[in-house]
Amino acid sequence: MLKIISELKLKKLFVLAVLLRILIMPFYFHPDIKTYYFQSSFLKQGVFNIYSYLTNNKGNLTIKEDFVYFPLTYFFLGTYQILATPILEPQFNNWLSDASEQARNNIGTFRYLFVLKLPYLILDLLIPFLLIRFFSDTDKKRKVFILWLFNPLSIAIIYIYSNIDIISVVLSLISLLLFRNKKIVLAGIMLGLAAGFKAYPMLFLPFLMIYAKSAKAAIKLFLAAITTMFLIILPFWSSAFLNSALISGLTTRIAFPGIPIGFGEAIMVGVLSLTAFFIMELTENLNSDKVWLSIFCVLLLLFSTIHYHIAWLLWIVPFLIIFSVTQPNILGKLAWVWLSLAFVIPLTFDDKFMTVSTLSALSPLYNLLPTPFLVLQKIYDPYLLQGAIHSILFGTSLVLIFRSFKMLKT
Amino acid sequence: MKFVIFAISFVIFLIVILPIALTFAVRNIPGDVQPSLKDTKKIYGQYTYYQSLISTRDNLAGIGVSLKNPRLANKHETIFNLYDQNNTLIRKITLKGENIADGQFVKILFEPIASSLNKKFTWSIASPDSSKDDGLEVFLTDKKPVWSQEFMVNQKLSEDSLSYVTLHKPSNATEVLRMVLVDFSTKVNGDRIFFMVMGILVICPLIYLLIF
Repeated sequence: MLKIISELKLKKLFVLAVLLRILIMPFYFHPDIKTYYFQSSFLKQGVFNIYSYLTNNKGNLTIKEDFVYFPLTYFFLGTYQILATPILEPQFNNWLSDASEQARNNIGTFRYLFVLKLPYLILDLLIPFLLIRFFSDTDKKRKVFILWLFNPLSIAIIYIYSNIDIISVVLSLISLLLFRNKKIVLAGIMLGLAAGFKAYPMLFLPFLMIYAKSAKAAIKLFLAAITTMFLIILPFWSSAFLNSALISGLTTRIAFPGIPIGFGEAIMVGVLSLTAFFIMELTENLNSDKVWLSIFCVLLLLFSTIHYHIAWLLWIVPFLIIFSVTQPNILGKLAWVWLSLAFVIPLTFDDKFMTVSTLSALSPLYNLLPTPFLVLQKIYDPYLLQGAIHSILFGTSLVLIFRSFKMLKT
Repeated sequence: MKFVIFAISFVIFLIVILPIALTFAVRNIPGDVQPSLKDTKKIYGQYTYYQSLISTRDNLAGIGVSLKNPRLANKHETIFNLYDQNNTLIRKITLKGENIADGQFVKILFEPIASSLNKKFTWSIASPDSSKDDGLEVFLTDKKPVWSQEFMVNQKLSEDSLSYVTLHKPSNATEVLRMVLVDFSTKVNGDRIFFMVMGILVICPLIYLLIF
C-alpha cells in the first residue's frame, strides 16, 4: 500500500486524510453505534444466536431494539469489542447499557467513540486502494484516490452516522473487482460474505449475472453467492431472525412506496423500476468492463424510490466517484449534485440524531436545539419539501441512468 | 486541490465552527440532565399530577418532559400550571395532544421567572377531556434528583417522581458556549490519557505535513 501511495505521489495527502478523520471520530455521536455495539457485547458472554437471545430477554435489557443486521455483523463487532477491551476502560459496559441521555455525559465517551470507530477508519482507508484498481491511467488513479479520501459526504456518513455499511461496501467492491478479473466463484463468495453483514449487496446479484460471460458463469456466480449467504444465516434461521433482520429495513422499504391501482393492490415503484432496468440490460449486448456502471444505476434507482437511512448513501459513493472520474464533464458534476441532494433529504427528517443531537457527545445542550424539520415547519411543510427534493433526485437519476445506459452499450 | 481544501474546511466547520455557532441558537438551558425513564402515568379525566421542585438556576423558563402519545391518539387539551411557593398560580400553558409525537421530549415554555434560584415551585399537569384510552402519558423515574421534591396525585402524596428537567433562559449570549466548554473540558480532564494519545495522533501527522 505504501508503494502505491508513493507511486501516486500521495503520501502527504494520505496523512492529511487520516488526520482529518481522527479529528472528527471522537466528537460525533449517533445512537446506532451504541445500540449495535451493545447488542454485539453479548458475544463476550458467549451468546451465539443474538436474534433469539434479544427476543427472549427483551424485558431485562436496557436497550430493547432488535438486532437488524445479518449474523456476520454481530460476530465482527463482538470480536472487535473483545480485542479492544484493554483500551476501553472498565466503565465501558455501563456506558453501553445506559439507555438514558446521561450516558453521553460519561467521562469516557470520546474514547469509546474513537475506539469503536477505528474499524471503520481502517476500512475507509482501504477503499481508495480498491477504487484505483478500476483504472489503469495514473492520473485517474490519483483522482479517484483523492476523491474518496477528501469528499466531505463520505467522511460525514462514516464518522458522524457511523453505521456498519462500510463493511459491506468494501466486500462488494472486492467482489466487483474479482468479477472483472473473471474470478466468478470468488466474486460470488465475496458478495455472499458482504450480504452476511447486511443484505443489500444481494440486490446486485441479478445484474452481475447479466454481465457474466456465459449462462454457466452466471449460474456459478449465483450459486456461490447464495450458498455463502445461506451458510451464514442458516444457523440463525428462526422467527426471531426473520422478524428482526430479514423483514426490516431495505427489504420492506423497497416494497413500501406504491401507486394504488384499487382493491388493495399497488404498483411497487422500487420493484417496477429495478425490473425495468434489469430487463433493459438483459435485452442488450453490454460492455462487461462497465459492470460497476450498472450497479451505479441500480443504486440510483433504489435511492430515488425508497425512504432511506442516510448511512445507506455510502453504498453508492464509490461508484459515483468512479463515474465522476470517467465523466469529468457536466455529467460527473451532476452526479455530485445528486449525492448532495440525497444527503440533504435525511437531514430534513424529524429526527434529532440526523442533525443537532449528533453533537450531544460534546454537550447534552445540543439536544435542546430544534431540528431543521421543526424550523422548516414554521415556514413550509417539511414533508412537501422532502417530496420535492426526492422528485428532483428521481429526475436527476433518470438522466444519469439514460446517459449511463448509452455508455454501457459502447 | 480545491477538493482537498474543501474537505479541510468541512472538517474545521464540523469540529469548531458548527459546535460554536449552534450554542447561540440554544434558547434554554436545562437545570440538570433528565433522569432515566421508567414507567408512565396516564394523564386523563380526574387525575392531576403535581410535581414540586427547587430551581437550581435563575430565569426558570420551562419544564422539559417526555410524553407518550401512542398512535398519536390524543387530540385533547392538556393543562400545565405552575405555582410558586405560596401555591399561587403564576403560569398557565395549554398543550395540544395532536402536536405531540409519541415519546417526544416536550419543552413547556413560559415567561421566564427572573429570580428563581433556590425557590420552590410546583407544576401540575392534567387533561380532564382525555379518556383512559387516549390520554398522554408522563414518565416516572427511579433516579429522583435532589432538586426534585414531592410528587402528588390529586393532592395525595406519592412515592414516585416524574422524569423531567427544568429549563432556564441563558443570562447572556455566551453562557451556553461557556457551559459547552465546561462539559468538554470535564471530559478532557476525566480521560487525560486518551487526550494525550489524541494529541500525539494529531501532532505527529501535523509535524510530518509541515516539515517534510
